[in-house]
Amino acid sequence: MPLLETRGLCKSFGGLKAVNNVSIAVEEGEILGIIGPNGAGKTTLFNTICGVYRPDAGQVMFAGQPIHGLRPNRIARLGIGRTFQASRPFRGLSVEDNVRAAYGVRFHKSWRTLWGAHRADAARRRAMELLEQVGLAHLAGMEAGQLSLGLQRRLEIARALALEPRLLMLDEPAAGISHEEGLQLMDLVRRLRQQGVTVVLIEHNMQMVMNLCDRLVVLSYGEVIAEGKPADIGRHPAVIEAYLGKEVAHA
Amino acid sequence: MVIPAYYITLAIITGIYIILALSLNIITGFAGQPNMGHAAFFGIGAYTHAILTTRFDVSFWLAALAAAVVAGAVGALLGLISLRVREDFLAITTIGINFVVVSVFLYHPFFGQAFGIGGIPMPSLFGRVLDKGGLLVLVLLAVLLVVWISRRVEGSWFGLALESLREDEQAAEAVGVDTRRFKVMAFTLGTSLAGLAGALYASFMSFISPGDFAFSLSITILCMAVVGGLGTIRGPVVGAIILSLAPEMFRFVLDYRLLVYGGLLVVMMRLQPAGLLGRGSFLVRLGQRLLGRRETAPVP
Repeated sequence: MPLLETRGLCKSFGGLKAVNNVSIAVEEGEILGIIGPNGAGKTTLFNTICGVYRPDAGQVMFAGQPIHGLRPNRIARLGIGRTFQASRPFRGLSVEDNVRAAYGVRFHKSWRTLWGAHRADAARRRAMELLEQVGLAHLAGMEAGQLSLGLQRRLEIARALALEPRLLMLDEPAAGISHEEGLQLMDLVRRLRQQGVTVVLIEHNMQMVMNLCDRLVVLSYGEVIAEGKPADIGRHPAVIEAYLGKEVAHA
Repeated sequence: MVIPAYYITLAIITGIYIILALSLNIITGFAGQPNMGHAAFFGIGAYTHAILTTRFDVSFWLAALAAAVVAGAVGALLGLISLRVREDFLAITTIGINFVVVSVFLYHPFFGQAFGIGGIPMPSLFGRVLDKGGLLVLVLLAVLLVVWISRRVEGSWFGLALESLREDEQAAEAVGVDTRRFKVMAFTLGTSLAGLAGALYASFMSFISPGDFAFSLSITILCMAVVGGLGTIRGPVVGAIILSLAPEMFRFVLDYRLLVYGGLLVVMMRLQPAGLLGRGSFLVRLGQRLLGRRETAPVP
Protein backbone atom coordinates (compact mmCIF):
# COMPACT_ATOMS: atom_id res chain seq x y z
CA MET A 1 0.00 0.00 0.00
CA PRO A 2 1.45 3.38 -0.99
CA LEU A 3 1.80 5.99 1.78
CA LEU A 4 0.12 8.66 -0.32
CA GLU A 5 -2.06 8.10 -3.32
CA THR A 6 -4.18 10.38 -5.46
CA ARG A 7 -6.85 8.88 -7.67
CA GLY A 8 -8.17 10.92 -10.58
CA LEU A 9 -7.64 14.19 -8.73
CA CYS A 10 -9.13 17.26 -10.42
CA LYS A 11 -9.11 20.94 -9.47
CA SER A 12 -10.25 23.76 -11.74
CA PHE A 13 -10.21 27.52 -11.33
CA GLY A 14 -12.93 28.92 -13.56
CA GLY A 15 -12.28 27.32 -16.94
CA LEU A 16 -8.68 26.40 -16.15
CA LYS A 17 -8.06 22.78 -15.27
CA ALA A 18 -5.08 23.32 -12.98
CA VAL A 19 -5.00 19.68 -11.91
CA ASN A 20 -6.62 17.26 -14.31
CA ASN A 21 -7.16 13.61 -13.49
CA VAL A 22 -3.89 13.17 -11.61
CA SER A 23 -3.19 9.76 -10.15
CA ILE A 24 0.13 9.34 -8.40
CA ALA A 25 1.37 6.99 -5.70
CA VAL A 26 4.16 7.70 -3.22
CA GLU A 27 5.76 4.67 -1.62
CA GLU A 28 6.93 4.75 1.97
CA GLY A 29 10.56 5.79 2.26
CA GLU A 30 11.05 7.21 -1.21
CA ILE A 31 11.93 10.69 -2.41
CA LEU A 32 9.55 11.62 -5.20
CA GLY A 33 10.17 14.69 -7.35
CA ILE A 34 7.36 16.53 -9.10
CA ILE A 35 8.60 18.57 -12.04
CA GLY A 36 7.04 20.38 -14.94
CA PRO A 37 7.04 23.74 -16.69
CA ASN A 38 5.72 26.85 -14.94
CA GLY A 39 1.99 26.74 -14.56
CA ALA A 40 1.86 22.96 -14.87
CA GLY A 41 -0.19 22.69 -11.69
CA LYS A 42 2.47 21.42 -9.31
CA THR A 43 1.70 23.77 -6.43
CA THR A 44 -2.04 23.36 -7.01
CA LEU A 45 -1.55 19.60 -6.71
CA PHE A 46 0.31 20.16 -3.43
CA ASN A 47 -2.38 22.46 -2.09
CA THR A 48 -5.13 20.06 -3.08
CA ILE A 49 -3.40 17.19 -1.30
CA CYS A 50 -2.80 19.32 1.81
CA GLY A 51 -6.39 20.50 2.01
CA VAL A 52 -5.90 24.16 1.06
CA TYR A 53 -8.18 23.49 -1.90
CA ARG A 54 -11.04 21.03 -1.97
CA PRO A 55 -10.73 18.75 -5.02
CA ASP A 56 -13.52 18.94 -7.64
CA ALA A 57 -13.23 15.21 -8.19
CA GLY A 58 -11.01 12.33 -7.21
CA GLN A 59 -9.58 11.03 -3.99
CA VAL A 60 -6.52 11.49 -1.83
CA MET A 61 -5.56 8.50 0.32
CA PHE A 62 -2.97 8.80 3.08
CA ALA A 63 -1.88 5.58 4.77
CA GLY A 64 -5.02 3.96 3.45
CA GLN A 65 -7.37 6.65 4.78
CA PRO A 66 -9.25 9.13 2.58
CA ILE A 67 -8.14 12.68 3.46
CA HIS A 68 -9.73 14.77 0.68
CA GLY A 69 -12.15 17.32 2.03
CA LEU A 70 -10.42 17.53 5.41
CA ARG A 71 -9.16 20.89 6.63
CA PRO A 72 -5.39 21.52 6.33
CA ASN A 73 -4.83 21.34 10.08
CA ARG A 74 -6.40 17.87 10.25
CA ILE A 75 -4.26 16.64 7.39
CA ALA A 76 -1.14 18.09 9.03
CA ARG A 77 -1.98 16.32 12.28
CA LEU A 78 -2.44 13.04 10.44
CA GLY A 79 1.23 13.24 9.51
CA ILE A 80 1.80 15.38 6.43
CA GLY A 81 4.22 18.25 6.97
CA ARG A 82 4.78 20.88 4.30
CA THR A 83 6.71 23.97 3.33
CA PHE A 84 5.59 26.79 1.06
CA GLN A 85 6.90 28.02 -2.26
CA ALA A 86 7.20 31.58 -0.98
CA SER A 87 8.53 30.79 2.46
CA ARG A 88 6.10 31.57 5.27
CA PRO A 89 7.69 31.42 8.69
CA PHE A 90 5.84 33.06 11.60
CA ARG A 91 7.81 36.24 10.98
CA GLY A 92 7.23 38.04 14.27
CA LEU A 93 8.03 35.01 16.43
CA SER A 94 11.48 33.81 17.40
CA VAL A 95 13.04 30.93 15.50
CA GLU A 96 12.53 28.72 18.52
CA ASP A 97 8.88 29.73 18.95
CA ASN A 98 8.25 28.93 15.28
CA VAL A 99 9.19 25.33 15.91
CA ARG A 100 7.44 25.25 19.27
CA ALA A 101 4.18 26.52 17.77
CA ALA A 102 4.11 23.41 15.60
CA TYR A 103 5.35 21.10 18.35
CA GLY A 104 2.61 22.45 20.62
CA VAL A 105 -0.20 21.18 18.43
CA ARG A 106 -0.06 17.87 20.31
CA PHE A 107 -1.16 19.79 23.42
CA HIS A 108 -4.22 21.29 21.75
CA LYS A 109 -6.29 18.17 22.30
CA SER A 110 -7.30 18.64 25.90
CA TRP A 111 -8.25 21.79 27.76
CA ARG A 112 -5.79 21.03 30.54
CA THR A 113 -2.67 20.63 28.36
CA LEU A 114 -3.69 23.59 26.21
CA TRP A 115 -3.09 25.87 29.19
CA GLY A 116 0.29 24.30 29.96
CA ALA A 117 3.41 26.47 29.73
CA HIS A 118 5.00 26.44 26.28
CA ARG A 119 8.37 27.43 27.68
CA ALA A 120 8.56 24.12 29.52
CA ASP A 121 11.94 22.38 29.39
CA ALA A 122 10.85 19.35 27.39
CA ALA A 123 9.41 21.55 24.65
CA ARG A 124 12.54 23.69 24.56
CA ARG A 125 14.77 20.64 24.27
CA ARG A 126 12.75 19.18 21.44
CA ALA A 127 12.71 22.51 19.58
CA MET A 128 16.47 22.83 19.96
CA GLU A 129 17.01 19.29 18.70
CA LEU A 130 15.02 20.06 15.59
CA LEU A 131 16.83 23.35 15.06
CA GLU A 132 20.13 21.55 15.47
CA GLN A 133 19.09 19.11 12.81
CA VAL A 134 18.61 21.90 10.25
CA GLY A 135 21.58 23.90 11.55
CA LEU A 136 19.67 26.79 13.10
CA ALA A 137 20.23 26.14 16.80
CA HIS A 138 22.60 29.10 17.17
CA LEU A 139 19.88 31.45 15.88
CA ALA A 140 17.10 30.17 18.16
CA GLY A 141 16.42 33.58 19.75
CA MET A 142 16.34 35.55 16.52
CA GLU A 143 13.13 36.88 15.00
CA ALA A 144 12.23 34.57 12.11
CA GLY A 145 11.50 37.44 9.73
CA GLN A 146 15.14 38.53 10.00
CA LEU A 147 16.52 35.25 8.62
CA SER A 148 17.84 35.01 5.07
CA LEU A 149 15.64 33.17 2.59
CA GLY A 150 17.79 30.04 2.73
CA LEU A 151 17.56 29.93 6.51
CA GLN A 152 13.81 30.60 6.42
CA ARG A 153 13.43 27.55 4.21
CA ARG A 154 15.31 25.44 6.71
CA LEU A 155 13.25 26.85 9.55
CA GLU A 156 10.11 25.83 7.68
CA ILE A 157 11.45 22.30 7.43
CA ALA A 158 12.25 22.20 11.16
CA ARG A 159 8.75 23.51 11.87
CA ALA A 160 7.19 20.84 9.68
CA LEU A 161 9.33 18.16 11.37
CA ALA A 162 8.02 19.21 14.78
CA LEU A 163 4.81 17.41 13.83
CA GLU A 164 6.78 14.21 13.41
CA PRO A 165 5.31 13.74 9.94
CA ARG A 166 5.47 10.51 7.98
CA LEU A 167 5.38 12.51 4.78
CA LEU A 168 7.17 15.78 4.11
CA MET A 169 6.06 17.88 1.15
CA LEU A 170 8.55 20.54 0.03
CA ASP A 171 7.43 23.16 -2.48
CA GLU A 172 10.50 24.39 -4.36
CA PRO A 173 12.85 24.20 -1.41
CA ALA A 174 15.86 25.34 -3.45
CA ALA A 175 14.26 28.36 -5.14
CA GLY A 176 16.16 31.56 -4.50
CA ILE A 177 18.92 30.05 -2.39
CA SER A 178 22.64 29.73 -3.13
CA HIS A 179 24.33 26.70 -4.65
CA GLU A 180 25.96 25.84 -1.34
CA GLU A 181 22.70 26.17 0.58
CA GLY A 182 21.16 23.89 -2.04
CA LEU A 183 23.79 21.22 -1.35
CA GLN A 184 23.17 21.45 2.39
CA LEU A 185 19.47 21.12 1.72
CA MET A 186 20.01 17.94 -0.30
CA ASP A 187 22.06 16.54 2.54
CA LEU A 188 19.29 17.33 4.95
CA VAL A 189 16.61 15.69 2.81
CA ARG A 190 18.73 12.52 2.50
CA ARG A 191 19.22 12.40 6.26
CA LEU A 192 15.51 12.78 6.81
CA ARG A 193 14.81 9.89 4.50
CA GLN A 194 17.25 7.78 6.49
CA GLN A 195 15.19 8.63 9.56
CA GLY A 196 12.18 7.16 7.82
CA VAL A 197 10.48 10.28 6.47
CA THR A 198 8.99 10.01 3.00
CA VAL A 199 9.58 13.12 0.89
CA VAL A 200 7.70 14.65 -2.03
CA LEU A 201 9.27 17.73 -3.52
CA ILE A 202 8.51 20.18 -6.29
CA GLU A 203 11.70 21.51 -7.81
CA HIS A 204 12.96 23.38 -10.84
CA ASN A 205 16.61 22.84 -10.08
CA MET A 206 17.35 19.89 -12.37
CA GLN A 207 20.68 19.02 -10.83
CA MET A 208 19.02 18.67 -7.48
CA VAL A 209 16.12 16.65 -8.82
CA MET A 210 18.37 14.26 -10.71
CA ASN A 211 20.68 13.69 -7.76
CA LEU A 212 18.13 13.50 -5.01
CA CYS A 213 14.96 11.85 -6.25
CA ASP A 214 14.31 8.14 -6.60
CA ARG A 215 11.47 8.77 -8.99
CA LEU A 216 9.99 11.67 -10.89
CA VAL A 217 6.50 12.63 -11.96
CA VAL A 218 6.23 15.16 -14.78
CA LEU A 219 3.20 17.44 -14.94
CA SER A 220 2.19 19.56 -17.89
CA TYR A 221 -1.06 21.51 -18.19
CA GLY A 222 -2.34 19.78 -15.08
CA GLU A 223 -1.81 16.25 -16.33
CA VAL A 224 0.80 13.61 -15.63
CA ILE A 225 2.73 13.19 -18.87
CA ALA A 226 5.49 10.91 -17.66
CA GLU A 227 6.89 9.21 -14.61
CA GLY A 228 9.91 7.08 -13.92
CA LYS A 229 13.55 7.09 -12.89
CA PRO A 230 15.35 10.44 -13.24
CA ALA A 231 17.72 9.10 -15.89
CA ASP A 232 14.86 7.88 -18.07
CA ILE A 233 12.76 10.99 -17.67
CA GLY A 234 15.42 13.19 -19.29
CA ARG A 235 15.09 11.18 -22.50
CA HIS A 236 11.32 10.89 -22.50
CA PRO A 237 9.91 12.47 -25.72
CA ALA A 238 6.80 13.90 -24.02
CA VAL A 239 8.98 15.58 -21.40
CA ILE A 240 11.31 17.10 -23.98
CA GLU A 241 8.28 18.37 -25.85
CA ALA A 242 6.74 19.89 -22.73
CA TYR A 243 9.92 21.72 -21.83
CA LEU A 244 11.34 22.60 -25.25
CA GLY A 245 8.39 22.37 -27.63
CA LYS A 246 7.77 20.07 -30.58
CA GLU A 247 10.53 19.44 -33.04
CA VAL A 248 9.72 20.95 -36.40
CA ALA A 249 10.26 18.68 -39.38
CA HIS A 250 13.17 19.86 -41.50
CA ALA A 251 12.37 20.87 -44.97
CA MET B 1 -6.81 59.39 55.47
CA VAL B 2 -9.67 60.15 53.13
CA ILE B 3 -9.03 59.92 49.40
CA PRO B 4 -11.13 62.48 47.54
CA ALA B 5 -14.04 60.88 45.70
CA TYR B 6 -12.78 62.35 42.45
CA TYR B 7 -9.63 60.23 42.57
CA ILE B 8 -11.56 57.11 43.46
CA THR B 9 -13.83 57.68 40.49
CA LEU B 10 -10.85 58.25 38.23
CA ALA B 11 -9.13 55.10 39.49
CA ILE B 12 -12.26 52.99 38.97
CA ILE B 13 -12.72 54.25 35.42
CA THR B 14 -9.03 53.68 34.68
CA GLY B 15 -9.25 50.14 36.03
CA ILE B 16 -12.26 49.41 33.83
CA TYR B 17 -10.37 50.75 30.82
CA ILE B 18 -7.40 48.53 31.64
CA ILE B 19 -9.70 45.49 31.62
CA LEU B 20 -11.17 46.61 28.30
CA ALA B 21 -7.76 47.19 26.69
CA LEU B 22 -6.41 43.85 27.94
CA SER B 23 -9.49 41.95 26.80
CA LEU B 24 -9.27 43.51 23.33
CA ASN B 25 -5.58 42.63 23.36
CA ILE B 26 -6.42 38.92 23.53
CA ILE B 27 -8.42 39.22 20.30
CA THR B 28 -6.42 41.82 18.39
CA GLY B 29 -3.01 41.62 20.04
CA PHE B 30 -2.49 37.89 20.54
CA ALA B 31 -4.77 36.40 17.86
CA GLY B 32 -4.39 39.31 15.42
CA GLN B 33 -8.10 39.59 14.65
CA PRO B 34 -9.36 43.13 14.09
CA ASN B 35 -12.15 44.17 16.43
CA MET B 36 -13.36 47.74 16.15
CA GLY B 37 -16.58 47.12 18.04
CA HIS B 38 -15.31 46.07 21.44
CA ALA B 39 -17.56 48.60 23.20
CA ALA B 40 -20.56 46.54 22.05
CA PHE B 41 -19.51 43.67 24.32
CA PHE B 42 -18.81 46.07 27.16
CA GLY B 43 -22.37 47.29 26.61
CA ILE B 44 -23.86 43.81 26.43
CA GLY B 45 -22.21 43.02 29.77
CA ALA B 46 -23.42 46.26 31.32
CA TYR B 47 -27.02 45.83 30.12
CA THR B 48 -27.11 42.18 31.17
CA HIS B 49 -25.93 43.19 34.60
CA ALA B 50 -28.31 46.15 34.83
CA ILE B 51 -31.37 44.18 33.77
CA LEU B 52 -30.64 41.23 36.06
CA THR B 53 -29.97 43.36 39.14
CA THR B 54 -32.79 45.88 38.71
CA ARG B 55 -35.61 43.71 37.36
CA PHE B 56 -34.84 40.21 38.56
CA ASP B 57 -33.20 41.01 41.85
CA VAL B 58 -30.15 38.93 41.03
CA SER B 59 -27.09 39.53 43.23
CA PHE B 60 -24.15 41.53 41.90
CA TRP B 61 -21.91 38.48 41.75
CA LEU B 62 -24.27 36.26 39.82
CA ALA B 63 -25.21 39.12 37.49
CA ALA B 64 -21.53 39.88 36.82
CA LEU B 65 -20.96 36.25 35.94
CA ALA B 66 -23.99 36.32 33.66
CA ALA B 67 -22.70 39.53 32.04
CA ALA B 68 -19.44 37.77 31.17
CA VAL B 69 -21.27 34.71 29.86
CA VAL B 70 -23.75 36.63 27.70
CA ALA B 71 -21.07 38.93 26.25
CA GLY B 72 -18.86 35.90 25.60
CA ALA B 73 -21.72 34.08 23.86
CA VAL B 74 -22.33 36.99 21.51
CA GLY B 75 -18.55 37.22 21.06
CA ALA B 76 -18.44 33.56 20.07
CA LEU B 77 -21.06 34.36 17.46
CA LEU B 78 -18.83 37.14 16.15
CA GLY B 79 -15.96 34.64 16.15
CA LEU B 80 -18.02 32.33 13.95
CA ILE B 81 -18.72 35.24 11.61
CA SER B 82 -15.02 36.02 11.51
CA LEU B 83 -14.39 32.63 9.90
CA ARG B 84 -16.36 33.76 6.88
CA VAL B 85 -14.83 37.16 6.19
CA ARG B 86 -11.37 38.42 5.36
CA GLU B 87 -9.50 40.67 7.75
CA ASP B 88 -10.48 44.07 6.36
CA PHE B 89 -14.11 43.03 6.08
CA LEU B 90 -14.02 41.69 9.61
CA ALA B 91 -12.96 45.15 10.81
CA ILE B 92 -16.01 46.64 9.09
CA THR B 93 -18.26 43.86 10.38
CA THR B 94 -17.20 44.58 13.96
CA ILE B 95 -17.94 48.28 13.47
CA GLY B 96 -21.37 47.27 12.20
CA ILE B 97 -21.97 45.08 15.23
CA ASN B 98 -21.20 48.01 17.50
CA PHE B 99 -23.83 50.15 15.77
CA VAL B 100 -26.40 47.36 15.72
CA VAL B 101 -25.98 46.66 19.43
CA VAL B 102 -26.26 50.34 20.36
CA SER B 103 -29.36 50.66 18.15
CA VAL B 104 -31.01 47.71 19.85
CA PHE B 105 -30.40 49.32 23.26
CA LEU B 106 -31.72 52.60 21.89
CA TYR B 107 -34.88 51.41 20.18
CA HIS B 108 -36.11 48.36 22.03
CA PRO B 109 -38.29 49.09 25.06
CA PHE B 110 -36.83 46.11 26.92
CA PHE B 111 -33.51 47.97 27.14
CA GLY B 112 -35.07 51.24 28.29
CA GLN B 113 -34.49 53.02 24.98
CA ALA B 114 -32.86 56.45 25.23
CA PHE B 115 -33.67 56.65 28.94
CA GLY B 116 -31.32 53.79 29.67
CA ILE B 117 -31.52 51.82 32.87
CA GLY B 118 -31.14 53.39 36.30
CA GLY B 119 -31.08 52.33 39.90
CA ILE B 120 -28.41 49.69 39.45
CA PRO B 121 -27.28 48.72 42.97
CA MET B 122 -23.74 48.66 44.27
CA PRO B 123 -22.40 45.20 45.08
CA SER B 124 -22.90 43.92 48.59
CA LEU B 125 -20.63 41.58 50.48
CA PHE B 126 -21.81 39.60 53.52
CA GLY B 127 -24.92 41.77 53.73
CA ARG B 128 -23.01 45.06 53.61
CA VAL B 129 -23.33 47.34 50.62
CA LEU B 130 -19.91 48.41 49.33
CA ASP B 131 -19.06 52.10 49.01
CA LYS B 132 -16.99 53.55 46.18
CA GLY B 133 -13.76 52.66 47.94
CA GLY B 134 -14.93 49.08 48.24
CA LEU B 135 -15.83 49.03 44.57
CA LEU B 136 -12.37 50.36 43.73
CA VAL B 137 -10.85 47.39 45.55
CA LEU B 138 -13.15 45.10 43.59
CA VAL B 139 -12.15 46.73 40.29
CA LEU B 140 -8.46 46.39 41.16
CA LEU B 141 -8.99 42.71 41.95
CA ALA B 142 -10.71 42.31 38.59
CA VAL B 143 -7.74 44.03 36.90
CA LEU B 144 -5.40 41.59 38.62
CA LEU B 145 -7.57 38.69 37.49
CA VAL B 146 -7.49 39.88 33.87
CA VAL B 147 -3.73 40.48 34.01
CA TRP B 148 -3.32 36.97 35.40
CA ILE B 149 -5.50 35.50 32.65
CA SER B 150 -3.52 37.44 30.03
CA ARG B 151 -0.27 36.07 31.43
CA ARG B 152 -1.64 32.56 31.42
CA VAL B 153 -2.67 33.02 27.79
CA GLU B 154 0.70 34.44 26.81
CA GLY B 155 2.70 31.66 28.40
CA SER B 156 0.55 28.74 27.32
CA TRP B 157 0.26 26.59 24.20
CA PHE B 158 -3.07 28.33 23.70
CA GLY B 159 -1.31 31.70 23.44
CA LEU B 160 1.36 30.37 21.11
CA ALA B 161 -1.37 28.98 18.86
CA LEU B 162 -3.04 32.42 18.82
CA GLU B 163 0.26 34.05 17.91
CA SER B 164 0.91 31.61 15.07
CA LEU B 165 -2.59 32.35 13.78
CA ARG B 166 -1.82 36.08 13.94
CA GLU B 167 1.48 35.71 12.09
CA ASP B 168 0.27 33.53 9.22
CA GLU B 169 -3.05 31.76 9.12
CA GLN B 170 -2.23 29.41 6.26
CA ALA B 171 1.12 28.42 7.74
CA ALA B 172 -0.54 27.83 11.12
CA GLU B 173 -3.04 25.46 9.48
CA ALA B 174 -0.16 23.70 7.72
CA VAL B 175 1.46 22.83 11.03
CA GLY B 176 -1.80 21.57 12.50
CA VAL B 177 -3.25 24.59 14.29
CA ASP B 178 -7.04 24.56 14.03
CA THR B 179 -7.28 28.27 13.25
CA ARG B 180 -11.09 28.35 13.27
CA ARG B 181 -11.30 26.93 16.75
CA PHE B 182 -8.70 29.35 18.08
CA LYS B 183 -10.33 32.39 16.48
CA VAL B 184 -13.63 31.56 18.14
CA MET B 185 -11.88 30.90 21.46
CA ALA B 186 -10.02 34.22 21.34
CA PHE B 187 -13.22 36.14 20.58
CA THR B 188 -15.11 34.32 23.32
CA LEU B 189 -12.50 34.92 25.99
CA GLY B 190 -11.84 38.56 25.03
CA THR B 191 -15.50 39.55 24.79
CA SER B 192 -16.49 37.81 28.02
CA LEU B 193 -13.86 39.83 29.89
CA ALA B 194 -15.29 42.98 28.29
CA GLY B 195 -18.67 41.84 29.60
CA LEU B 196 -17.21 41.59 33.09
CA ALA B 197 -15.94 45.17 32.75
CA GLY B 198 -19.48 46.12 31.74
CA ALA B 199 -20.89 44.69 34.97
CA LEU B 200 -18.42 46.72 37.04
CA TYR B 201 -19.24 49.83 35.05
CA ALA B 202 -23.00 49.45 35.38
CA SER B 203 -22.73 48.94 39.11
CA PHE B 204 -20.41 51.91 39.53
CA MET B 205 -22.45 54.33 37.41
CA SER B 206 -25.82 53.03 38.73
CA PHE B 207 -27.26 54.42 35.50
CA ILE B 208 -26.37 53.40 31.95
CA SER B 209 -27.62 54.51 28.55
CA PRO B 210 -26.86 53.44 24.96
CA GLY B 211 -24.50 56.36 24.33
CA ASP B 212 -22.02 54.96 26.87
CA PHE B 213 -21.14 52.13 24.48
CA ALA B 214 -20.83 54.00 21.20
CA PHE B 215 -18.35 53.27 18.42
CA SER B 216 -16.11 56.09 19.64
CA LEU B 217 -15.46 54.08 22.81
CA SER B 218 -14.36 51.12 20.69
CA ILE B 219 -11.82 53.38 19.01
CA THR B 220 -10.67 54.67 22.39
CA ILE B 221 -10.09 51.11 23.63
CA LEU B 222 -8.27 50.16 20.45
CA CYS B 223 -6.19 53.30 20.76
CA MET B 224 -5.17 52.39 24.31
CA ALA B 225 -3.98 48.94 23.25
CA VAL B 226 -2.19 50.21 20.14
CA VAL B 227 -0.50 53.17 21.86
CA GLY B 228 0.79 50.95 24.65
CA GLY B 229 1.72 48.03 22.44
CA LEU B 230 -0.53 45.30 21.06
CA GLY B 231 0.45 41.74 21.84
CA THR B 232 2.14 42.58 25.13
CA ILE B 233 0.54 42.86 28.56
CA ARG B 234 2.37 45.93 29.87
CA GLY B 235 1.40 47.82 26.68
CA PRO B 236 -2.40 47.88 26.98
CA VAL B 237 -2.15 48.49 30.75
CA VAL B 238 0.06 51.55 30.32
CA GLY B 239 -1.87 52.70 27.24
CA ALA B 240 -5.13 52.55 29.19
CA ILE B 241 -3.65 54.49 32.10
CA ILE B 242 -2.20 57.21 29.86
CA LEU B 243 -5.33 57.68 27.78
CA SER B 244 -7.74 57.65 30.69
CA LEU B 245 -5.72 60.17 32.70
CA ALA B 246 -4.78 62.44 29.78
CA PRO B 247 -8.27 63.86 29.18
CA GLU B 248 -8.51 64.69 32.89
CA MET B 249 -5.30 66.71 32.71
CA PHE B 250 -6.04 68.28 29.38
CA ARG B 251 -9.69 69.09 29.64
CA PHE B 252 -9.71 71.03 26.38
CA VAL B 253 -9.00 67.78 24.52
CA LEU B 254 -12.33 66.36 25.60
CA ASP B 255 -14.34 67.95 22.80
CA TYR B 256 -11.92 66.70 20.18
CA ARG B 257 -11.38 63.28 21.68
CA LEU B 258 -12.20 61.25 18.60
CA LEU B 259 -10.08 63.52 16.42
CA VAL B 260 -7.12 63.29 18.77
CA TYR B 261 -7.43 59.52 19.21
CA GLY B 262 -7.80 58.95 15.48
CA GLY B 263 -4.75 61.11 14.84
CA LEU B 264 -2.86 59.30 17.57
CA LEU B 265 -3.65 55.94 15.93
CA VAL B 266 -2.31 57.17 12.59
CA VAL B 267 0.85 58.60 14.15
CA MET B 268 1.50 55.42 16.14
CA MET B 269 0.96 53.17 13.12
CA ARG B 270 3.40 55.30 11.15
CA LEU B 271 6.13 55.82 13.73
CA GLN B 272 5.82 53.13 16.37
CA PRO B 273 3.67 50.31 15.02
CA ALA B 274 4.64 48.08 17.95
CA GLY B 275 3.34 50.69 20.42
CA LEU B 276 5.20 52.60 23.13
CA LEU B 277 6.09 49.43 25.03
CA GLY B 278 5.81 46.82 22.28
CA ARG B 279 8.66 44.63 21.17
CA GLY B 280 11.50 46.60 19.62
CA SER B 281 9.86 49.98 20.30
CA PHE B 282 11.87 53.11 20.91
CA LEU B 283 11.27 53.07 24.68
CA VAL B 284 11.99 49.35 25.08
CA ARG B 285 15.26 49.68 23.16
CA LEU B 286 16.22 52.68 25.26
CA GLY B 287 15.47 50.73 28.42
CA GLN B 288 17.46 47.78 27.22
CA ARG B 289 20.40 49.99 26.40
CA LEU B 290 20.26 51.57 29.85
CA LEU B 291 20.05 48.17 31.51
CA GLY B 292 22.58 46.72 29.11
CA ARG B 293 20.63 43.74 27.90
CA ARG B 294 18.73 42.66 24.83
CA GLU B 295 15.51 40.73 24.35
CA THR B 296 16.60 38.79 21.29
CA ALA B 297 19.94 37.62 19.97
CA PRO B 298 21.78 40.07 17.73
CA VAL B 299 21.79 39.64 13.98
CA PRO B 300 24.95 37.70 13.11
